Amino acid sequence: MEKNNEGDGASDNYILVIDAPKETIEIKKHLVMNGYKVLLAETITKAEKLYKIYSIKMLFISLALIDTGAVQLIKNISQKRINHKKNSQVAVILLVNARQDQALHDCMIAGADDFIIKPFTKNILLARMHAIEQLLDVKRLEGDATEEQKIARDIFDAAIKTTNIEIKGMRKHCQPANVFSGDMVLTGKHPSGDVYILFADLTGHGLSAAIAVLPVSNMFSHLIRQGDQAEAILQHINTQLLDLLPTDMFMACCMLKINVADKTVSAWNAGMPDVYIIDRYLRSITKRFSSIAIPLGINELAAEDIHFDSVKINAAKQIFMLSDGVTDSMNEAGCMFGVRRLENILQNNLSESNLFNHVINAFKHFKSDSRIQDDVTLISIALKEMLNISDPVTNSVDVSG
Amino acid sequence: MSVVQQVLENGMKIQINISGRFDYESSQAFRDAYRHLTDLEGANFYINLRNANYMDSSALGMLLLLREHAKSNGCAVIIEQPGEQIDKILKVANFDKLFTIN
Repeated sequence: MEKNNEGDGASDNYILVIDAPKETIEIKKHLVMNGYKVLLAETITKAEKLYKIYSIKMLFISLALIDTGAVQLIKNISQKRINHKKNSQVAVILLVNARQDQALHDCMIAGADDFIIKPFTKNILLARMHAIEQLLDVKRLEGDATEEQKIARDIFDAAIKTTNIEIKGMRKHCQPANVFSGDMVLTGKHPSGDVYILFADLTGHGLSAAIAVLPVSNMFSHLIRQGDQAEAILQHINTQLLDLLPTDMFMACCMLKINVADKTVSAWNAGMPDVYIIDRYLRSITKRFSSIAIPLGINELAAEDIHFDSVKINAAKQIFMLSDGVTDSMNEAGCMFGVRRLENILQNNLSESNLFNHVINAFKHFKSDSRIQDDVTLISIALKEMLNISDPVTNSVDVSG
Repeated sequence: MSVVQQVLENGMKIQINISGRFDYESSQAFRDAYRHLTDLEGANFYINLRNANYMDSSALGMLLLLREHAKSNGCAVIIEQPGEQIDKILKVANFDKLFTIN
């Protein structure tokens, strides 16, 4: 029976070495002598099988196998596309000859963590193993932290979902820059019958931005149910944010009130990009609710500082709004998406029934693979469904017929 | 990004020039440009943005911190020469209600 030395590297996890049999003798000897459990595979196919069965924490892959699917295996492992037993943190180390620089480059891009140039001594191998184990520890900590954040986010999302109401015809596209988002959309029905929507963007992104999401959403839903007017709700939220947020943080927001009986939309915009009212049949932007106030959480807010602007609506109208994460987004060339580009896309697709998809696709195309720097939210509300009134075009056909 | 501070007019004018991107990365340098200054009676802060080409919401936050510091010392903050793009960001946030913008 093979004796398992309880040395430095001893653990329940295996090291998988993928190379031609004669090449693996030395490396196996060094690893086993230092307490590691070693598995050997001479082909990528065999390696994949072992990977699925055993709990593996480190793979050594020889670049002699580059043509036999090594790059794909590395990709699959680093992107977690292969189900892996128990341990989720895996390091991939390449065994390279000095002349294999292109293959080395390809494998590192595919997600390998490190490489060792052959021939190497026992001490070089063990020194590298030590460094890689430290890397795995960091990866593990990072993985744990992300998991915890995801759990917290699920709690946040659930809290908002239970208080939000469903709005017919509303579509949302959200891409947080981090696990947490500082953008939020709160909806509620006022006892008067009005539908209230608070679209808000807390400064920054990630956990620090999201910290105020829960108190704001609780307050919003509680005060609406209580029958408070929009002005009072905004004042209460402002007071809470003044207490809660440090000086340099604030919340831009736009409060919308939709009165179905009177067929009006009213809005008060404090620091958000323009909110558009689009008429799909007139093919134009018929109204903009521009920001007229400083964001919440900066100054005291008196009721007389809040002025709602109103506009009549009908079934042809669509509300379109977005957070500045959309317009301020940069692509890889360093260009900003910008308001002009957004409005051009809106103007050129106004008659489209799926205008929303057009804008999202244009944004995705613009961003391509580049990283989202700030939380991105786009919202569209087709008022036809909410008003539950017949289509004006259908009406005109009826009249002429 | 660079933040350069000058004390002018016998200490009555504290000018902070910002060039390049005015964002999260500038926060330490921006704070260091005014935090150590005491005995500010009668002085005002001038934030010159002529050479700044980008500003994000954390930069707005930095201006709010400076405003707080200035207020507690009885000083005003004047924002000067914002470019078109930065001016739009200041306008959307309605910062002209909190600062003098020239």
